[in-house]
Amino acid sequence: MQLTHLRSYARPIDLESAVELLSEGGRGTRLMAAGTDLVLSGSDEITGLVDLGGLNLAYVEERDGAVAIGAMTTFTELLEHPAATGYLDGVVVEMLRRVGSPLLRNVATVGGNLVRKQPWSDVIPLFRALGASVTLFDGDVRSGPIDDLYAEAAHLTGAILTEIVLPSQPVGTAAAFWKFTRSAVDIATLNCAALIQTEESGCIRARVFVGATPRLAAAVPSAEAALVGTDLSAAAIATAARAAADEVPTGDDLRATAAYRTRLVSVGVTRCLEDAKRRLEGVTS
Amino acid sequence: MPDRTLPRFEVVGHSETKVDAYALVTGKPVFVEDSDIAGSLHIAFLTSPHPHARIVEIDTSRAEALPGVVLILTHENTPTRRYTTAGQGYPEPSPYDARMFDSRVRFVGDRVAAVAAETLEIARAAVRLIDVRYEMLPAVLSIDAALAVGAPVIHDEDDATGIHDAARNTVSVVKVDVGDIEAGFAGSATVVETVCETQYAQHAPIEPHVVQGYLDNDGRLVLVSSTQVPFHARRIVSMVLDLPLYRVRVIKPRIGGGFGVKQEILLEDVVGLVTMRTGRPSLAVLSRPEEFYASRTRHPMRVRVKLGAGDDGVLHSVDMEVISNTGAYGSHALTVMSNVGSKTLPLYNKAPNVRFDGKTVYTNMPVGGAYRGYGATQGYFALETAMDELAGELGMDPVELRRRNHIQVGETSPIFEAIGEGKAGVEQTVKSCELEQCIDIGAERIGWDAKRGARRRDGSWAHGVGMSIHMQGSGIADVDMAAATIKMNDDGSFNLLIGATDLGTGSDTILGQIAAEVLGVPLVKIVVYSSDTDMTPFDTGAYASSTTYVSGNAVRLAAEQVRDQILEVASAMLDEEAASLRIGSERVTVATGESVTLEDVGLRALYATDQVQIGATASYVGAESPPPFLASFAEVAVDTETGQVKIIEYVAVADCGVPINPAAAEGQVEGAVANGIGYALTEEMLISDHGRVRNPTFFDYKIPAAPDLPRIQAILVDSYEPTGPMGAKSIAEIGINAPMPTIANAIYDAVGVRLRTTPFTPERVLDALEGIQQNG
Amino acid sequence: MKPTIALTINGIQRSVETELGETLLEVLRREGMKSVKLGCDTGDCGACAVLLDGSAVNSCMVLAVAADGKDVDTVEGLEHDGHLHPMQQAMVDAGAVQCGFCTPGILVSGIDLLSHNPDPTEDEVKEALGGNLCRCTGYVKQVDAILATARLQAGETDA
Repeated sequence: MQLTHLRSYARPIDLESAVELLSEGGRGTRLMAAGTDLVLSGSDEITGLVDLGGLNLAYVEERDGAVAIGAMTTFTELLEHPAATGYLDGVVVEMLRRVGSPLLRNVATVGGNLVRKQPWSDVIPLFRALGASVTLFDGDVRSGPIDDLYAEAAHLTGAILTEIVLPSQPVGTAAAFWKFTRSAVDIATLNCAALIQTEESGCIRARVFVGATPRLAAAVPSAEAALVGTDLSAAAIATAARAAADEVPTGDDLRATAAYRTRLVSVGVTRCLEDAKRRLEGVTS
Repeated sequence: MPDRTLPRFEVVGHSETKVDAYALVTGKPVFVEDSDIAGSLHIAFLTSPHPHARIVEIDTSRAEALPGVVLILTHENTPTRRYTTAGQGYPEPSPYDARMFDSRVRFVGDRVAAVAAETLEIARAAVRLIDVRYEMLPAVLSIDAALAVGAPVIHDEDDATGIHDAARNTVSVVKVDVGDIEAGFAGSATVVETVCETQYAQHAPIEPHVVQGYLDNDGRLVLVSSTQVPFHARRIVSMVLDLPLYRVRVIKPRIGGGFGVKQEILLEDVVGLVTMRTGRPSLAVLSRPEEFYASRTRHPMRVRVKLGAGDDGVLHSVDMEVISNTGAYGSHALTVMSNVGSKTLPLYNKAPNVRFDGKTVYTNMPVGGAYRGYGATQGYFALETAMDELAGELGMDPVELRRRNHIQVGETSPIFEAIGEGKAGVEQTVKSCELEQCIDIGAERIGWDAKRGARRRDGSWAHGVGMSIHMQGSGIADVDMAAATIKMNDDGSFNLLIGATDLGTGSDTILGQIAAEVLGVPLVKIVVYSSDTDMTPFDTGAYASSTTYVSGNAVRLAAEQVRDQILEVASAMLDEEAASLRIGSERVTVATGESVTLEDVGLRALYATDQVQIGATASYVGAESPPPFLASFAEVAVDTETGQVKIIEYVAVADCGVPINPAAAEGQVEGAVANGIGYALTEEMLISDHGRVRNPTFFDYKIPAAPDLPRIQAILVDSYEPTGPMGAKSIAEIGINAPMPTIANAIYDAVGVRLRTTPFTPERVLDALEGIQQNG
Repeated sequence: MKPTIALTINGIQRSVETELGETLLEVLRREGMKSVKLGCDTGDCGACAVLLDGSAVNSCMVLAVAADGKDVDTVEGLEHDGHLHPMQQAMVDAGAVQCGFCTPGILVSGIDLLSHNPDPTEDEVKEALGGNLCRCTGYVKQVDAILATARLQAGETDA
């Protein structure tokens, strides 16, 4: 038995009840999406669970070029949905296919991944690079940029993530995701996501995130700055990659040393940007 | 292919359906843990958090007070007799340096206590309530630390036996010196020397160790165990628990993989004692983390190989020096070391001067044991790396260098006799060797001539090809015995009872095929049963690549005796000389065409005339250990920016004599190569500065999954081993030795760097690449 | 309090008593579904894979109470009228079964794959098996068996 201290379990069918159950449950009560991590944690601290599986939060909808994703949508449901396949040349689908195996993707949820904040999350860097927004419910409905979830002062206690929206992207925008692993099915040794928006003048917006450093993905402002205003030439990309390697703090864990990760930052940012640029050219040509 | 006619077989040589395939593919409850035994206790272990410590005090009172706890075992209430956990022939060549529970712990994961409780949750909770006060002892956490002057002594207890030099942490020493090694080097045109260092790796069978114990209606102890060695398990349990051997029965049902780690007696003693003390059934299963840190591993080794050759590439001297780390206990320490030399050096028998110097040391680290390949794996990495280096120095094609040096039919090597397992080896002449064919086919398949040295680039990816050649053995000559019993039934079917231990390899099937071939019946008419110490005759078990050859010869002999008995009965029925009768197609036939069915024979023998149970038991001990051979080729791509290595193509061509069941034999090669690719690229137990395994899960320790592997091409060449059953030799182990040197040599071909420390992680490869760039 | 959950296991509705903290794996094995194997307990080996409402999942990662009301299919339910499922037969014929401990999980992943991708490439089969560890085979014959099943089923559909 994994959760030996579990004393209560509820699967409410409306958000208000879920929030109530969560606050009544006290310290040991957690929200549960698929529950894969909660179950595996075997944590003695978990005494109550509020299962979000009854809230009808598993859906994907296209809304005028934007993609709305219910927080309880599984990775498989998202990657098989035409809205995801068609979004920015399939970048979301490509990322999801690198997450775990089908056995995990069939249960793990998009919302659960965003909220768990595992440092190796592949969804977080890409969704942040895409400029996603999120909707929370804590009695009231609150919407805001996904970045707010990861701000230092972020405070999620008592709130339920209900929806994620990937915004409609302007023409001339492309994104890419890159991940380095030890084996095919593995968490990232390092990952990288990038979005570039161009006009005739060149790059007008760049978002670059590097994750699993081994800490959770963060933006790399110096690389972004190095790209804006350029024509995304090989030299510009190289400058951005160098800036990222200088800026991104890396650390040791059992997957790699800090020094190796720093070398990967440079490779990953380069490949990610080159990929984004290729997609841009593919789309415009 | 040499000009000769191979015997034709009806059942042997065909990919018959595995006899257990139906049960396995339908998920029948055939594994140890699938038998729900009512009232069974569950056992959990407390293991040491320290690499080296003395237990000053152990207080189990809080744990005992937990409702549902039935029994707690510690060093204070268990037998103190020293033994080895290695399931080997008796007397074992491994030292008696372990106790069931000891007052001293010697590695992180060493057993401190066991709790038997009504549920696993209670047992695990009770484990956390055991209070232990340790006195820390200085720990030895590397080979060099073990050998240092004044190093802490790991086994200074006075009741341990069989240790070569306990005061110097030296478990065992193997030394052989043939010819004049230095004169050979002096007379060589080219000399190369290389030092390779291999890592801790774990077998990772998907089914962990599991034992279910209970008392039968006569109060005898029955252990249903996922063991490769039921008879050794019975002997060791009997000895450790001081139970008469006839009071112990070990049953091996279906086993979820072993690869050597289930040649170790890790749970049977504890389950046995719990069941004897409580009178209740009990079950112990290692958790996956325990499987990694508390069971057994492949011995990490440092191997130095020095080769000297003439301008023609023919070797003059081969020098191999090895230091092996056996961890806290010496299970298989001596014999694994012996195999580093005995399974590698005879391959290059052209060298008249050969020296082998192997030493195995204790450390306070995870314990080594038997692991598919059994030392040959580590030895071949260094030897085949050195051969590749030698080819480079000579400016010779590495394939050609091997051709000029490998052993051939009719040849021998002094090493066969010089290195045995715990005693001298056995002189033998190679009677079958199709290595030339293996090399030809492998080189052609991989496109060797076009690709070697081509340095093809594809963006940041550099491609290269590498190869290596190998031999192993077929059982331990003059040591290990197998027996088989066959009895005939009234419908002309047969029961084949074997102590041989099918752990997923398909040995039940191929042994059934051998019996079916001799008895002239289809495989379905052979009902195979393995293994049960009460019901089946003795067999040393599944290790040392022995089952096909040793157990297979026992089955052949038993079947031949049964056949002769059948012919005798048929002779009376047909009124013909037995010598003029032929058996086949479930009949006994006279030259004139007149025949009786085997059913007729069975019915007559059991019910009608001169009644007798037709049946026989036969035994076999190998007089020699004929080596299978293998040539291995791979194409790799190396990402020069990240150091990542991808296997583009892998070809393994093997000579295993006549494959009794080609699909099963191919499966052995495919599986061994897959395991070897993991060993070469990703599998490494990371040990902390405190001696703790940092990655004891499949999340962190990466064994290959389907998308990690190329389509492994396993090819079996036509061959016939005259001493084998129906011409067969072994196949199970040899494939695992190949990937590490093959891939290392391919990386060299791709990017010009030699990887001598394993596994070849992207970081190691990139470091090596940048080392070259800095130096160059 | 021991909750009772409703599970439809291989088409048969059952009322199953469970402990709150138990996994689906534990409950299924207690209910006699021994094809569901515990290999790692961390969702990394796939030996415990089952079809949950038609999708292959690791049952060690699913809380039993959260599966209340759902359909669970295991390898015990694959045989029909004494005939093996075509993929089971293909595994037998290809020699894809060695120790067999991982086989049920592989079948579950393979069946899930063909249910939404009836004509997969070899690489797609490998990707689908990415969460199923096998230490015996090197996956060659298992991949072949799944591809053979796809061909067979396509032939049946055409005909």
